[in-house]
Amino acid sequence: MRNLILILQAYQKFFFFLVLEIICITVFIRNNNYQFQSYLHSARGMSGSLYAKKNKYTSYLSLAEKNKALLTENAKLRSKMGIKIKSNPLKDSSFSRVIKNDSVKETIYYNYIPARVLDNSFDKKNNFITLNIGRNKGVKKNMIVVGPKGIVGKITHVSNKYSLAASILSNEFSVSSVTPEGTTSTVKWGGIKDPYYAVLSGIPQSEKLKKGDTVLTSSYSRFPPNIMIGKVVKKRKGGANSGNNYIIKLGTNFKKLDFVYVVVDDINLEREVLQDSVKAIENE
Amino acid sequence: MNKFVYYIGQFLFVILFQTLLLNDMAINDSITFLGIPSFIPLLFPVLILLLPIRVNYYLMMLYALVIGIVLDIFSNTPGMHASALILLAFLRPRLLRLFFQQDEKKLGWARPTVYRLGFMPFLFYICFSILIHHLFYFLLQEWSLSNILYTLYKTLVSGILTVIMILIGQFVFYSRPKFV
Repeated sequence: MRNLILILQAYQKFFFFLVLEIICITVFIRNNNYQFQSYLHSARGMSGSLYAKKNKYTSYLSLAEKNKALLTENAKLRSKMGIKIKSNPLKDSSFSRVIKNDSVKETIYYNYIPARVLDNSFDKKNNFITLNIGRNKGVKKNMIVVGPKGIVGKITHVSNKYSLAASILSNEFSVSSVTPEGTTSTVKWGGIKDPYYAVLSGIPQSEKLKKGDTVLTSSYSRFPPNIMIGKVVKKRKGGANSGNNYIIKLGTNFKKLDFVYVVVDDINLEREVLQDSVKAIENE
Repeated sequence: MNKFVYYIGQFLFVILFQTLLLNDMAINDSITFLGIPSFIPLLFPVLILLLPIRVNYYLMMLYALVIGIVLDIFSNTPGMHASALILLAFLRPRLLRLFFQQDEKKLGWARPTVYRLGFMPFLFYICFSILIHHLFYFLLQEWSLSNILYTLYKTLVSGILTVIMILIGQFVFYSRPKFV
């Protein structure tokens, strides 16, 4: 015992270092996975408000570019909306009514909450985006974030005024996708380390994708269907057993992310409740 | 008291410079260098490296912990900055002894600046410390040895940038002492 104390005294500095280092690394490992990050995040008030202040002063620098992006998106939205006029009442008689051709198709209207990106990263293993809206605007955990040019990520933490989204540039983030021919597969970013590209995996040998084919989200995941993910660039070597892998260029430019939309999706919430109840029954 | 204010000011300046400017460099500008998609200089080790040479060991470790926690809050990586900085603080007395063995008593409470230590010894001290810190930091960030080459590449590029920034800072913020 006496010897132990002597050793501890002799290597006091080293043990002090060891204790601190072990504590830090334990905290790091426990929070390595982005689903388990529970504290110390920039959705919190202090760092969130600092980022908001920074954004206030730096946002002037690229106004022209942002205006242009907003204009193009506005135009796109307006063209989708169309203009409604009163139809001729004389036409609307039971004799001339025809069945619409696309009656099998159905339009889903989502609500979008516009948000501004306060902080963003893409050089880490798991990357996060801080948004300037939070619980006060109705943001909830697991809501989907999309940008004007494609998918962005998923909300992981919400505070009163700010929220944090894991972007698709995260190691374990995968998105269910669909190719032009209708094959569903997954898109992942892990292992690419380039914020412009991602990997589309599990395409069967029989299907040959061309350069420039668009990959959209499928309706299997939480993402709203038919939202742009990216375009096929080239085939990736290896991975022949479970199908071919392709490299796709992401639609969203994560280096210039500025305005995004948080998708309010009541249908999905209902679906999740149902799926959870099924899981609960299976567990019994 | 004067010194206290000085270190608080240095702390705030470096932290804000790192989080608001340097971390943004990779985000807003599309700099690419030799195929590396994004890299940033990590300036914050300078807070530990430029403490007075005979500073209390425990105080320095706690200071490193505080800097680490603050940076971790800003970049959503609990424990990552802190553990790299604590390793650096632990190794700093050994590195100083390695490079300035004979001068340690003479230098005493002086801050290790480029004028006090001379250009080449200072450069070696900074390069070696930054290399250790960055390597540990990026290994921790990747958390795998599968792309070790990429990690080393990132360490090297980021480290060179950091060293250049520190040297510029030395010449900007410190003036040549009148008599040494």
